[in-house]
Amino acid sequence: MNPPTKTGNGMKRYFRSIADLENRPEFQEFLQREFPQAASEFPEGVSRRRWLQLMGASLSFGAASGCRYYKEEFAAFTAAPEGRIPGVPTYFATNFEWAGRIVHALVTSLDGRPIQLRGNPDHPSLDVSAASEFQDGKEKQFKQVGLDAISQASILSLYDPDRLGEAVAHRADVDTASKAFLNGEGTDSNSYNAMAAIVRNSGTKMDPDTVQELISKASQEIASSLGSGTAVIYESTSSPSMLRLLAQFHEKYPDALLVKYEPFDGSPVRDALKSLGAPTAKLSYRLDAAKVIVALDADLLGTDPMAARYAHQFAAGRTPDTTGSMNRLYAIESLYSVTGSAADFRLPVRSSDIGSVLARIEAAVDARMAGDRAAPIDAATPFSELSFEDRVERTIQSIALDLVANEGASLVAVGAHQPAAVQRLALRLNSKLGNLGGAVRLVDTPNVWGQLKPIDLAEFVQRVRDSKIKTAIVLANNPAFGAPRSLSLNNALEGIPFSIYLADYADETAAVCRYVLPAAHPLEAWSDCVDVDGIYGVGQPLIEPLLGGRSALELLAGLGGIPFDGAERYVRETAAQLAGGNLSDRQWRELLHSGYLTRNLLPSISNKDLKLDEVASIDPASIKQDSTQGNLELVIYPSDTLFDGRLANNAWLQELPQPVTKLTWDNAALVSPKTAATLGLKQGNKATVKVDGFAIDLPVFIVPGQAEGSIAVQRGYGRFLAGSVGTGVGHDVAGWLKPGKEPIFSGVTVSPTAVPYRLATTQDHFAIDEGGLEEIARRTPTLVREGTLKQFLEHPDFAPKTYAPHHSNESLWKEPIDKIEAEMPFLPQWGMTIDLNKCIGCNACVLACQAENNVPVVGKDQVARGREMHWLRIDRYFQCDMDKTKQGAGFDDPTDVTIVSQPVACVHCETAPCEQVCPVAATVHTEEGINAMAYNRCIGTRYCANNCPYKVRRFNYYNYNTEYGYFYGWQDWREKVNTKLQSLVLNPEVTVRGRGVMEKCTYCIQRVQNGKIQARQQGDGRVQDGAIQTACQEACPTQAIVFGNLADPSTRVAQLFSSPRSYAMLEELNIKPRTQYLARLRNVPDGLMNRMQANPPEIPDHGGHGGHGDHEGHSDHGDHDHATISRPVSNKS
Amino acid sequence: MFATNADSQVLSTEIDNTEETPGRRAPLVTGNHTYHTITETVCRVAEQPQPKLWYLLFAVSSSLALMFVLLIGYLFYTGVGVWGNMSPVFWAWPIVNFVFWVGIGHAGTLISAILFLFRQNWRTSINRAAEAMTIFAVICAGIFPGIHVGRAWLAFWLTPYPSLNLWMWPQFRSPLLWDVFAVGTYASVSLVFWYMGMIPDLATFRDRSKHWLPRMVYGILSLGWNGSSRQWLRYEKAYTLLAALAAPLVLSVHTVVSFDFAVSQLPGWHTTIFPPYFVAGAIFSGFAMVLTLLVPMRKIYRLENLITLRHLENMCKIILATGTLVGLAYATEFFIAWYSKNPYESYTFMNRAFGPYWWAYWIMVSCNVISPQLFWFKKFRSTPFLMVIVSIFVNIGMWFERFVITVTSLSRDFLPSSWGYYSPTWVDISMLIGSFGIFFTLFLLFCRFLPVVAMSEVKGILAIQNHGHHTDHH
Repeated sequence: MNPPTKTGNGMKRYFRSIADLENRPEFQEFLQREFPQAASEFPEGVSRRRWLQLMGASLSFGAASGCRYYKEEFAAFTAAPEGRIPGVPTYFATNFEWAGRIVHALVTSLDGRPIQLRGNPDHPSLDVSAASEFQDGKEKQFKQVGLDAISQASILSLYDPDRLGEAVAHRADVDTASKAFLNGEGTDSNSYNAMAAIVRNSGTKMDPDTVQELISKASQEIASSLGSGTAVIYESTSSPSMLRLLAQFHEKYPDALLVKYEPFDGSPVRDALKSLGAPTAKLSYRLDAAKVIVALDADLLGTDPMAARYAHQFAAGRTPDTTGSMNRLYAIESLYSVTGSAADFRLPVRSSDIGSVLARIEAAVDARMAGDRAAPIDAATPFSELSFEDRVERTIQSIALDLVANEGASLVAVGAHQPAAVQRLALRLNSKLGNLGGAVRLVDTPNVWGQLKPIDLAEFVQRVRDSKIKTAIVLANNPAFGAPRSLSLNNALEGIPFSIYLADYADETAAVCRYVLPAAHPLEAWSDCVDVDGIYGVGQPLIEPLLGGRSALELLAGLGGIPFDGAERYVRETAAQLAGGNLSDRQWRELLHSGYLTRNLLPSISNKDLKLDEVASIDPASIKQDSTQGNLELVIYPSDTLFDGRLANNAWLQELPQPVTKLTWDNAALVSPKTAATLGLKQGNKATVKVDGFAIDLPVFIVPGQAEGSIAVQRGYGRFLAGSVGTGVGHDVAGWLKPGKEPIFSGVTVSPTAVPYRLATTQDHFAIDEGGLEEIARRTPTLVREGTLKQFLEHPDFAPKTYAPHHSNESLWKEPIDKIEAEMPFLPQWGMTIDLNKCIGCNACVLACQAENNVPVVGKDQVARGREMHWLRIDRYFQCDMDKTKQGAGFDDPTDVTIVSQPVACVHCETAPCEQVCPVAATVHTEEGINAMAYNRCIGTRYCANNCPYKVRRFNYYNYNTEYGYFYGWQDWREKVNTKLQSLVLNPEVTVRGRGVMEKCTYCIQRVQNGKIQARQQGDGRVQDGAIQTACQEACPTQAIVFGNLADPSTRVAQLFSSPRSYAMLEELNIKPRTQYLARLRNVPDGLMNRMQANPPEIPDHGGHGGHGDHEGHSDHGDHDHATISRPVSNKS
Repeated sequence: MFATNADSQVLSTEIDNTEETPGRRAPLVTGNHTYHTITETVCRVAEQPQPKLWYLLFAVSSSLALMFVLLIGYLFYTGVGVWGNMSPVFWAWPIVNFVFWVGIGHAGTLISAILFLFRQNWRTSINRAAEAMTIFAVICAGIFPGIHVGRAWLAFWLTPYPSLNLWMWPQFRSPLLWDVFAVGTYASVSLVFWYMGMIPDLATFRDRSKHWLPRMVYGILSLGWNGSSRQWLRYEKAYTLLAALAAPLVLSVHTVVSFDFAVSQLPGWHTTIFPPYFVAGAIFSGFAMVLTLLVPMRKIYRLENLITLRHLENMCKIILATGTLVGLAYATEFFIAWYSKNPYESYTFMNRAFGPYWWAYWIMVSCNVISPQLFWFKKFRSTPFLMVIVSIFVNIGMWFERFVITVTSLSRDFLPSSWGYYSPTWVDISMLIGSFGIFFTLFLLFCRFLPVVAMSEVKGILAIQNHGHHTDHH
């Protein structure tokens, strides 16, 4: 029942009171609509004046560049600060912890508003020891370190209107219904909204004064009980300031409990190190120091929090053009990971058998080290002819050979979810191989501020049960959802009489805590961190807290009654102590400017400190390939995009296609085609997965290359109180997790159901007919050209030649570009290369493009319709041995599956097919060779998209970007959110497209123009090579993308264009793309080559055919003006 | 109930004039018709109260037309996302419908212009209705590309108009622009041709009107026609000139429509056979639609002696011929796909026949290639009921032909990563139905208010027939 609508704004007081007593959810909803709160309706809730204040404040410290942060400076500009040019971005170095990773970022701030993050290129921990890729050593100019997608997406979370904007005091009694709900009952999607409303509305808002009162009252209470009965739940952190504050708190209240929460506890790793006598050690790798990398169920380049850094290091070893050699990556894993797809050789093995594999590798290494170290392996039979068991054996022999041959320059990594025994074994093997201190780094992270002796959540729950906890301070991010459900942390927290939660959102934890205070985003607060290289960095606020949040430092200091003169002072004190006692103002400003302290804070641990002799060996059991009921295994792994689920309300990440499955907005049970066929599972139907008597229905997704009998599912989905984006997306599998136990389960049963479930993928492989699959297999080698390192060394130009068209491409008329090149040789001609040998398909570029170019999020329904808007996508193809697959069980069991990925955006064809068919000339060529879009002129015939062979054009079927899309929200309520987020996170340099308009990659034309303006202002107008970087290029951790001027033969891109590996995709269409790819190489050991790799297609001899001799033509540029322009296939050069 | 002939001397039964008698031309008007009875028969279609069936049909089709208009409103309000169009199938049902209706709109001008120039006298009984059908089909066709663009309110940018604030013309290399000219010219010439041919008959209507309002309206429309020799002379000249002008349009319009596809580089679209193949298909579908409309119309309005079995049979023969041409075109496409060794093209055609849209392909083949072959049998050519069934099949088949060309080619082009499967939404389906509503509403109004048979021209061939022995030996 709604109160009479006619009351409107002048609603009478008593109406509100009566209904308030009833506290019906629909009334609450009505109230929210009638009196919009800042939290739910932002940005409308923030007045123009308040916004100006915020902007003004951020601008003032932006201009001061020392970033002094005084609360008093809340005035809008009356006079512009010196040196500030409106519309010109400023950049700030900052470091913060985000979803388990440490981000060293350079933040783009435009008129006081942070809009984009990229990796801090000067940060020493991102340096790699790489061979020079350039003859003239121009690395410095091109220094790009990249940043992973999750870190980049933090900027969207900053502007998330769903973030908690006001402190909430909950009623002591939460409705029984919601209690049951939070305990996991009734988790069907229909009840989500109703329940969320109840939980959200069961509290009253608190004003800032009340919050201050609350904090001081709580502080007194803690003081009066001397901390006994008080627990502080914090998330594991590297922040020295946080650790110092915790130590101070602990010192003051020794009876207070410190509870450490780790969303993905690396507990097996930590347990292993503990048992080896290094409890505070931290394990990390240097991939650039390894020639041979063996990843055993370890997704080093994908879900690992340090993946971007590892990818950066990995790519340093992928430059065969200058060095003639490459590192070698073996991946042995159950699910197909990013690492697996980047690997030179991959073997699917169940996660539970990884220990056995490792034990056998160690035995083989031992045998070699004792005997003939370089004894060749028996490779008489081709690898493809071997049985599974023989394949495993040969793989192990090959790995052992490589490891021993590269002693001290190799690396054996084991996934953090593997048991401690396996971790210990890996450490011992690495030690034997002399890798410790080289590619395997162990550093000691003692708490220099004092021992904290934290307990874990399980113990905390036990203490609560024993009624020993009266007060809980929750500083960790949503442990009620992230922690294993079997802990019943909900009930435990709910039972505590006084609990304060520092929350990002009104989430699952907020629902069970008494007081919920809004937290500041890392870009709004002072913080610090130390990364595994021991480098200290400060996190500085880029903007005043938009929604009035506070940081954990501020809250804990307040509650602990610890002298605290503002977070900045506190962090600076910490920094000063770490820097050796004192930091002058100038030094402090320097630290903020560069973002790091050049001083290693963490000592390395060497072999001698580890008790490796005591490591027990694992008895290698037989390695199974069993997909019968009850013998299955289930592996729960972190989400590629949502981490532990805390990023569920980030629409960019929800819509980011998962690297291998290309799934968006969902998680699914991944199974191999054969396992699916054995169990009768169908893609797109749900299946009941049962572990330890607890069953969850999950949609099935078939992934070729998944280990037989192994089911993988991502956690982090199925949030029931995430916000308007993430609530109810996907399936919650935390019910299976057990505290202190690895997320690998055996004895799993799976039964198919007939319930269809719609999964939204951006690519539909293996859901298509057999003819289609054959065609894909036939076509992909020409699209994504790939060879082995061996092949490359014999025929460096195999890629352009193998699949070169049999006819010569000749235009019937003169191309306009020819004239431009002839008459205006001074004009730059832009082009791009993408090195597939470096690309690992990590998605960083996709997200960077989305952030840079205001690419809208469209929601699950629209993705399922094939209307995703990403300008840059990563195509992923499965490849298999077609002949053997056809002889065998067909596509129910494809043989020798591999994955290739290929980023595809507009390739800016010189003779662009899209331009010729546009009736209104809305897409035209610039004189600099960019295929430009005039959005204002576009009327949306979509003919250009039909005629684009790469299908890189994206159409706005609805008004994705503004709120004016009438009726639009009907399809999917989630989509509405996007409209509000976008308005603040938008890049003002790029036009926001309305509905009915075509859009696509522009080579970041705004950056090109800015670069040109700068070149004109500061020099002779010539743009220096590397001065203009596209957003994707900047974000790429492996430097696979290079952009620049093709008309200048000295540029990096021009050099790469003439690389023998360079080829144009679909060159036979004579469209002359300006983006070329460099062929991928796999450094496969001889004995492990599959049939395709062992017998690569022959290079046809085209004799004097002029069309293909162009690569030689590049050496003598001086002869003609436009020799370097992309003429990879024309007859002209 | 039904309109009946007042004059008893006119036979109202069906007369089979399809028999070929050597040395003698078959009569084109049967049943002892005279000038007067022809006037009576045709005028009463509009003058007499319409049968209940007309009201029923009109109620249904005008409701569907209204639905169509409302859906266009919904579309404009919301965005083209209400359709199933997606990436890679950026063009789907709306374009299929456009090409389908343009194709239908072919028969009218072919009958009126080309058959006129070739002195095919049997055209006279059917040309008026066929031309009307053409106009209405072109109206239906014209709606779709207009509403199909993402920003329909700016669709006028497709036309070349001097604009002071833009300083630019459309892009003349785009086939879509050629389309605007081709369809625009075709629609205007067809309309003028149709209207001009109607002037003498409108004057007849004017003269027979008993009420002042129709007299005034028909009076204005007949432009002061008084039947003087001078008027007839000029009329005949103008008509011949217009026919000569319209004749190339019959070939040009669908040729240009086919360029929308053929000029692109999409496998399955980029084929040189498209212009003749599209024209043949258009004539094929146009005649099928004429048959579908005329068989019930001559029955309801008792026009069997004007639109005789022989007329229908002739149309069946054209359908048979063009249907076979279309079948040949399908086979040629496959041959070329194989012969050219272009891997993308060969896959596209294999995919059409055996891919996920195999059903659409085989519906097309069975309707377009197999069903017209039934017209080899005299029985099918001379039984109106069977003709209608076959022609409806042909119409279904021709819609699917456009679906197959447009959607299956787009759904799987060069990069397999971008392949997709298109399925329509309720809006797509309703709009197709709604366009039929528009079409039938207009046609029913035509029956109600305008001369459905060109009286003056039929009278002309009646004269030839009655004085056959004079003219035969010239």
